[in-house]
Amino acid sequence: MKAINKSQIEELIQALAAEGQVFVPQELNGNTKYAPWQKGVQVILDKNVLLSPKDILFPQTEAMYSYVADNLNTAITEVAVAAEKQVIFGIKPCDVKSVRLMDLVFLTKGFEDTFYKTKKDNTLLVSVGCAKAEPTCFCTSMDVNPQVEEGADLALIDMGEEYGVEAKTEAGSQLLAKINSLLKDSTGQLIETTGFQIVFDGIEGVPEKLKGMFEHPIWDEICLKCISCGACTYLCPTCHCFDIQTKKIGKEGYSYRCWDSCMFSDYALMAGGHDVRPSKKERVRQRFMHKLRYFPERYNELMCVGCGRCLAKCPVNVDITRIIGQIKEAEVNGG
Amino acid sequence: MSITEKIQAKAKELLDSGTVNYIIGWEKGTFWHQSTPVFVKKAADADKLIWDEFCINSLSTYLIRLDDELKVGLFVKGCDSKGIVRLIQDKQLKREQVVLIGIPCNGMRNAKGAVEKTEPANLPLEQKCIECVHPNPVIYDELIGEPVVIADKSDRFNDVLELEKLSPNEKYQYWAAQFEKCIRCYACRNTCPACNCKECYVDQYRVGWQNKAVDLAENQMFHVTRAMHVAGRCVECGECQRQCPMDIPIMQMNRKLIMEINELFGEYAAGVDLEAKPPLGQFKTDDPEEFM
Amino acid sequence: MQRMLEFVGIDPKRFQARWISGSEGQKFADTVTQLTEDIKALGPNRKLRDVK
Repeated sequence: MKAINKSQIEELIQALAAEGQVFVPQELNGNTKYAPWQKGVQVILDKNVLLSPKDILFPQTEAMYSYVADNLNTAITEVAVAAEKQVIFGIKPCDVKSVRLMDLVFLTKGFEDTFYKTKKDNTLLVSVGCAKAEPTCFCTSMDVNPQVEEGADLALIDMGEEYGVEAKTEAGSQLLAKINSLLKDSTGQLIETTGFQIVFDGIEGVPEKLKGMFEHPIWDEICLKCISCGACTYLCPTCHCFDIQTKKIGKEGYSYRCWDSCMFSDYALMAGGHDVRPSKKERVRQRFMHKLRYFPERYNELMCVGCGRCLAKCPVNVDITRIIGQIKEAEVNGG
Repeated sequence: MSITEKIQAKAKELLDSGTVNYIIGWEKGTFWHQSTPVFVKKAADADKLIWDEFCINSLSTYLIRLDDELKVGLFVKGCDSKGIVRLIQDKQLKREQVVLIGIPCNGMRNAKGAVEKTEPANLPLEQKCIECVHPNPVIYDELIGEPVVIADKSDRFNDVLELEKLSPNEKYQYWAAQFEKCIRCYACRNTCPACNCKECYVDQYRVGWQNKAVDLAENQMFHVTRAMHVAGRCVECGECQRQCPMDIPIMQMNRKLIMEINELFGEYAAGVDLEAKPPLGQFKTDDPEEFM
Repeated sequence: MQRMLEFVGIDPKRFQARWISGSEGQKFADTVTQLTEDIKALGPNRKLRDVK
């Protein structure tokens, strides 16, 4: 197959820059995240970064329309959605799958989200596979291939000293042609990803089993140590709940959408004061039901890609892999 | 008997006798370098409880506005115990509702970066433990283990003093870069024993103190406001900074205010003396009045 | 509060506190007038609350 030397990555990114702004995984102020590439930036490819590229296609805060309201005279202006071409380089297969899942949410089932669609249509994904897993990674247990996942346009596969380069889509083929001068032919082999400390099987049975577990006492135990912050949801590459709020200064303002977390105590609070998820139990149950039952029921895919970010950063070590184990072992009264 | 064995025995005793409804302590987490909060309701489950160099989580946050009819058994290090004092002083918990088993603490370890399992003694101390001035529980019903000698940590304000040497613009740039990182997950607020308001100002959307938008201006507002709201009441448990997924140096702000309050109102350590009134919550005729 | 603002790089002179009784109308008016002049002399503030 075609391949590129690992030492040539900077040249590759330079070539990609012709396609639009290139986002690369890098460190900024002590955090690792995707940010615009600049010459000389240290690109992180040997492991995943803390902040997923979710923010590029689905920004944490996104203005939708602005307004001027002067008594009865009101003018509303749509905020133009940025349609600049961009490339996300170095996206890991787990995050590639999460983009695929976000596509299902924002582009299917009869409604297309303009904000997401415009950005997605103008984005190329160039993924880079993993040869070595972090202790918190468990993608293989969630049916994700650590080297390459569907959804990337161009996939780089770790083969040791070089990356195998594969076009996965039409756009990817066009890209491949453009960078051909950087590539060589290779008989190198994909490296079997090693280093997984968390491995389990039988995830397929979980959505089905959860159907009978809504009232199960297991949730009373699992919810106890959660502190209801939003760390898991905000770091999760597939979480996509959002709120719509307004920022106003005097007579002007703008309406925006922003990430929201089902873990927050007021997430399910409604006008009038009724809260359908008044306690941690309902909210924690909701999180895992959504990931492991509701989303699979609706879209036929698990909503967890095994990236391990929640596991790494939850302040109280709420561990989805442990909970999956508990669900599998739980006794459910037949019926 | 090791401390772990003593903890398990104590838990069994408290549960069997019906003295408490449940126990909160620590059990092993996902990895060898993690110990995580656990709620034990049955004496048979008391074997889950452990004590090691990774029992870092402060458990006091779980006691905020505990239901009146409940009684909880809690294991407390120095930091946890100060959190409990905070709650009692803020009237978010009644003393009779908790049975406190104090454990003097030699400091918890940070395994960040260590891949291979190693002796905890080989790992560096957690940042908050390096700065800790109250390793021994300040309030307890029973103590397990030997009190720890308290080292002089008056240099723990050094990083604050270093920051004060920067020019205003440099300070602004430093903090802007830090606040830019904030994702407003509110882990800091949720874990803090001083942050125990029934309704946090942040959640009062209609009023408009704070907007839900996540941008630098809102983040600055949040962090400065939270620091001011806990000023004089922060017990220096360090959990906010430790739990922050984005590694924002929150304690630098809190320690800055502790330093200032010490200077303005006299040396004061919040959460140590149950009877002491918080300096910003009382008035003395000799209070400094720079602004009058 | 002034010390906190100074710590994060904001000019502490932009924040002032006074204790004025409701019956000290003149003092209130004088204070606000003075404060307004003081702040104007500092020029526009571009830090914190940057309006989008």
